[in-house]
Amino acid sequence: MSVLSAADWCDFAFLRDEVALSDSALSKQLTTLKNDGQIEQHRAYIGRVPKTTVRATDSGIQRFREHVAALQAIADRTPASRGRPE
Amino acid sequence: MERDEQAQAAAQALTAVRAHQERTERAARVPPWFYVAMFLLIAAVTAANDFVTQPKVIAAVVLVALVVVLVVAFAGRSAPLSRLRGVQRRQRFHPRIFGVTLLVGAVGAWLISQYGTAAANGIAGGLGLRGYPNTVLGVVYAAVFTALFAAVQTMVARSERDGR
Repeated sequence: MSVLSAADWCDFAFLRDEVALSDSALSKQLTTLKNDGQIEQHRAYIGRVPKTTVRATDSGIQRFREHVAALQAIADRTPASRGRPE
Repeated sequence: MERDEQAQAAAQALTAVRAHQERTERAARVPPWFYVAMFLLIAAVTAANDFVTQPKVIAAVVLVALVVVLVVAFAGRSAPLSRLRGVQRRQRFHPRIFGVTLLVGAVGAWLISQYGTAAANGIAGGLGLRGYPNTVLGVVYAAVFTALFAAVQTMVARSERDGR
């Protein structure tokens, strides 16, 4: 989702290379996200070669931002952060 | 202790997220060669008026190429360059950037229409290129439009980054 949040859409191959996952592992992750309504997949054929593009939905982006905000809140609880002057 | 470990794990996850986002943004941004090609194309097409007896042919070829790119972009709902690279940058409509670009473009077009030819003749004369006013004008056009395009890309990228 971090890759998809920074792009309008990307190819399956681009996403696979960016997150360093195997085809099958990425497919499983994408299926889970798709069933949850966080991404959309579109398959087109160039000749006989299938080309899958992936895009984050608006609700997926929103939920990802909330997730990042939650992570930020947890990270801010470190002793170093607490001691940091405002 | 457990809280510190959680915070550390969260910080690491955030670092990974930022790294992914930055790499994707870099992969999706307009490549440097595109700016060079844009500059050369604009300069060459305008300069052709000094060298070719039928510049309308070149204008027609450029027009056809632009139409093809537009048709491919609208039909596929993505830019041909993005399709080649497998990633398209996130682009929302930014009214402020659109307004500034429109204003700068309109002022630039008005200035060119009013003073462009005279200025190009003056610069060409000053450089000792009196016979090539369109070449000089082409370089000026290319510099202005490429700079405007680059400025828009930078503003959009910054705006997208701030929105994340």
